[in-house]
Amino acid sequence: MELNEYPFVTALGITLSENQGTNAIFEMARNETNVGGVRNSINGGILATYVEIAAHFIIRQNLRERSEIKHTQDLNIAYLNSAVSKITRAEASLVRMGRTSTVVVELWDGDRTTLFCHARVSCAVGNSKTE
Amino acid sequence: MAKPSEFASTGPLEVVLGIERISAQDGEALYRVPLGPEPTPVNTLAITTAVDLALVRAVSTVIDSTVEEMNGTIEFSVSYLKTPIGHADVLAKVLGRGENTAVISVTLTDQDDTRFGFAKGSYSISKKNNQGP
Repeated sequence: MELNEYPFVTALGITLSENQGTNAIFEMARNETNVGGVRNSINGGILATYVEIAAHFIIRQNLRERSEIKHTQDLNIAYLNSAVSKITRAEASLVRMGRTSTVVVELWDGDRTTLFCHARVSCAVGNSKTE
Repeated sequence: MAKPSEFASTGPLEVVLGIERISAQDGEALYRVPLGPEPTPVNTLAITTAVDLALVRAVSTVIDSTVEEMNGTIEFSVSYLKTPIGHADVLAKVLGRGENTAVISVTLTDQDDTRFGFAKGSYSISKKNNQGP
């Protein structure tokens, strides 16, 4: 599944910047849809969805044959600084691959000087539905 | 600064993600996320945003806007037991608050009234800076 096939990716301004298989960097450009947090920052809920999309993308490209993501199991996110930069950079790293697969995501400003959020997403992975 | 009751005025993103505001008062806020008939793993993407929206809106109903300001979500954690279908009702309730922090629980229910997820979060509240003569 390409990144732009995920729901909301285009509307939220999310693009893939670097992809190294188990690690990837995404960028989200500030726009009229994704702002709405305190101090005119990116909306906190959108940041959480951004993290979830990044995690699904990483896990999906590391699935074994005939496996699929069943659903997100857990997502936790800590908001450390308001995301006020033009670009919000997501650095996603796969830390566990199995029936529970886990990705750690950090959200930074475009210059990588301010850490906005630290998050972890776990997804349930199982066998693909047979036809 | 918007009044706390208007704080979660996030119209464009709600429209794009298809999130519907249902109600907000007395420490509770309810949002609904319409979904498709089939359980797909990306169904939770909009729900994740709705969890934070509901959490924030619930807090906005317990703020004294004359002396307090909304200061941002501190953290939240959501667990999904299964993928919902039909629609997801996201109900946030303020469990309690102190001077600077509110704690909120969120329950996720699908069209069959099955609880498919739970969340908990904390939110920062700050005092307004009084600007006198």
